[in-house]
Amino acid sequence: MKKSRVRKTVVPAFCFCLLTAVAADETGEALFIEAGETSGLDFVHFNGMSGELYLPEIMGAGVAVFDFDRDGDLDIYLLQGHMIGPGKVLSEAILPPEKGAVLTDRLYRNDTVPGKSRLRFTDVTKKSGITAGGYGMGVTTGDINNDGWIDLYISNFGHNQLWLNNGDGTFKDITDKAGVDDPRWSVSAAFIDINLDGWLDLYVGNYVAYDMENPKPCRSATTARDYCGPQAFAPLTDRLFLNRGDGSFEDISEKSGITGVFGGALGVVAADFDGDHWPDIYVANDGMANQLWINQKDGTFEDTAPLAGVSVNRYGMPEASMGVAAADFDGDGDEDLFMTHLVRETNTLYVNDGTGWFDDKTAETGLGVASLPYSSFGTAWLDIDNDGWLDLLSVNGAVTLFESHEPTDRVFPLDRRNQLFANDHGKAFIEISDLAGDAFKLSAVSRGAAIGDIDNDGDIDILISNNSGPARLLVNQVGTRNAWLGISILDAAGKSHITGSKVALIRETGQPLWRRVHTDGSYGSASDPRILFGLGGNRGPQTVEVSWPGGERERWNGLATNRYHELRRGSGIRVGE
Amino acid sequence: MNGPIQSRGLLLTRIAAMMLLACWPVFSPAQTETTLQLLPVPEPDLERLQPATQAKLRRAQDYFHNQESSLDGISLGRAYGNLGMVYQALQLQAAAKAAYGNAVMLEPDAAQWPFYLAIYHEEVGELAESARLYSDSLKIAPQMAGTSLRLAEVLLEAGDLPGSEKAFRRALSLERGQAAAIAGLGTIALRRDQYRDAINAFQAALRIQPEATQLHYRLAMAYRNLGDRGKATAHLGKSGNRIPSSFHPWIELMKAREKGAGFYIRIGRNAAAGGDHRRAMAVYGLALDIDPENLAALYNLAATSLVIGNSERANGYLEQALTLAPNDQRLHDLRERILQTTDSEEDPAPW
Repeated sequence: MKKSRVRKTVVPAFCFCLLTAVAADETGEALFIEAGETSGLDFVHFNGMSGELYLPEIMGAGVAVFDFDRDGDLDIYLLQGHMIGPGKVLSEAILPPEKGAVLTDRLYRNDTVPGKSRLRFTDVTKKSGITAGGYGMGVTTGDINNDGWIDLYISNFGHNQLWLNNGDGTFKDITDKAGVDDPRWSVSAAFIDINLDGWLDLYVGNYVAYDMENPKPCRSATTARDYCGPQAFAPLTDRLFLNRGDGSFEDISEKSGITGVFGGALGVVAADFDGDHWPDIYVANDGMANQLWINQKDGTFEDTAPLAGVSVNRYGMPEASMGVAAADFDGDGDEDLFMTHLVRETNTLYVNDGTGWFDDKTAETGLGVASLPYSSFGTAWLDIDNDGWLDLLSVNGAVTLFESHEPTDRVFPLDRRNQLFANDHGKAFIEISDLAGDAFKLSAVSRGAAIGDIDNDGDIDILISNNSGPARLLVNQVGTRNAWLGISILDAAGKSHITGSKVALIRETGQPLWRRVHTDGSYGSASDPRILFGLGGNRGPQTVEVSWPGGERERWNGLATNRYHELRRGSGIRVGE
Repeated sequence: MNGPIQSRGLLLTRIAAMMLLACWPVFSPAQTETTLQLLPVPEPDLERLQPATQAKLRRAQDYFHNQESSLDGISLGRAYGNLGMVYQALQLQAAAKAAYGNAVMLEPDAAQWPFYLAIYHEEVGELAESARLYSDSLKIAPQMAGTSLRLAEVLLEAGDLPGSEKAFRRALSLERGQAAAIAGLGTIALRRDQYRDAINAFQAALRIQPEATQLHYRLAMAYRNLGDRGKATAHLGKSGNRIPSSFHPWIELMKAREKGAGFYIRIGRNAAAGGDHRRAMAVYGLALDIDPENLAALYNLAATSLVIGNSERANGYLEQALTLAPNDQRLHDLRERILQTTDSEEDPAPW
């Protein structure tokens, strides 16, 4: 009863604030505007569908935002598909690619002139040497050799690829030398330093054993031919590769214990979920129980998901998990989990009690009902208006032809609108998609979503990949109305982001605001590793404390607001245990 | 204690009872003139469906269209509702929504149409509208425990714990010992951090339906939050996917449309062959409800009525059948049997 009363009093006040101060103010300005078309980001995804209803054709693809050339701004990597199916040729494509389109992944360099508001991207794929012609599903970013240049791991329906950044604008395929290929169907992966040795290891989530030579014919409830669900196929085990530090990796999947349980992984996110300063791994599976791999600090992991309350939903039912995102949405210092699901299932919010045990608070926070009509994929926690509270993005697109409730003559009627939810002080979420501008009125078959400050103006922008559609770059219009603090958490040499570090903004009143250095999460996508704190109206110098992987802590005082800072390990004030 | 066979027998009997209610003659004062703006019902593309499903849909659509011009008011509403049930059973949601919408307008005193429309809204995630329609249905048919249960579950999903609790309790007051309702109260207690109450409720529900293995998961979470890791782990080991089952005759009636009349005729034949003629009657009746022009259903109803000694009823069904197929020799043979019924001890041949 008490909770209910609180919500009733808070919501109107919040709505007023949001409606009047952020979204629909006197200028009528939207939260985001779409800038892909005007910025040179001319990528259009091609899924190679020929009417056979192959499952892989509706599952791609992810996106990445990362600064590959270290010029201080975020570049973009987009995954492409191609004709799919034995003997299929381009002339059989139901939705053919644009004339002259090159059907490989694309790398776009951010050529925006600092100080100019107009974004500009240039396709530099050819120059980069990246020839990623696999059927793209996901992309993961991380500096595997600690040279300061961000490398790429590409997950495909088929062989995966590891592209080493040469530091001169080019990349080299080192998959075989590194020993990190997986020829099966991979979607999401995560770079994570599992043994705290300073080298990024690699977790690869694998989906199902789909036999292209013998695809199963599936039917919807209406008995019309339709896309199969994952239950029609055997789930695959995931892979864990340990970085030896010499450019090669050891496959420790078996001995680490992660092949003991599995269930068709689509989402992967790494974070310290139990508060012991060692990174753990959460794996979101499609239609089967999820896993929470707790790091045993000896190279092995134990799945605690059932007792932790994150293997199934609150009713005990496994859900069709697609994307997953971890963050401290309620400001209590631990990592909570949000994952996206199929239509007629809610997306699910698991709230961490700080020890790695969770409670499903989907209904209590208002996130359940709004997600029931949608199949959702990419997701991210992002502070849209820099008020210090992490809001939520969910990008949507159906997975069956008859998920559509309306009769249609369209051959690919899977498009849906995407959704934004505003965080009401860590207690509830309110859907604000209708306030977010025309960008959120677009209907598409969205899959991947990555976030980052693409225009370096101090607020979070969004990149969305659409299956059989154009990539969308949504530029934040409102975040910089509040103060902000941008931080790169780097190693002692100032080269590489230290993935897994936790950063606390120390506030004069209230709890510290915690953020985690990461690029993983969402669906097959990689985001900006920089931390962006929203400060609301607080424009004075700020103090932050970094908790490095393993638990050591350092503090920096007097950081000026509304700018980015690089914090190198060892350059701050050591904080006691 | 109910095994699957017993449960099915009970279920079919209950369905048959509901069916008889649904088939009660309609006397409509509002039949003379209709000024309502009816919704256009989109017709799905049958070509994409398998032949058997095409046939079911086509039959339902043809029957509706053949009747449509001669119906008005409540009778037209009922026809729209019956068509909606076929669409909903096959998950053709847009068509079902429109058909039910018309049924609600044309037959406002029938509780089943807002109920079915509520299911549509529930399935597409429009929980507020779904709850409103379940409530509307309950105003018309307040004795339907199953409707109250569904309302409670929708309110629970929507986060309205007081409303949900009230509806669960109402469902229990209408029909004691419903495991799903007891489990629902346990879930509410769990959400309110009242773990002992939650445990008591889940255990009570499990005593009624031990096969509802999903409840072990909820028990595990309640014990975990009480700090009893041992019991939590033990119940996790027992947890499975089976939810507490509940019965709602209208849902069974709707789902029967998916199986089609032929399915129930086969069940009826098996029942008749086993000597269970009353069950056979119930199941043939369901087949006729699904497909009102099904000759096999009419024939078997007539023949079985004869077997159980109700020659008047047998004649009624036979007359209906002869209207549809006046030259069918089997029907004429059966008529002969009915005329000789007092002298015969032999069952009529099956259709």
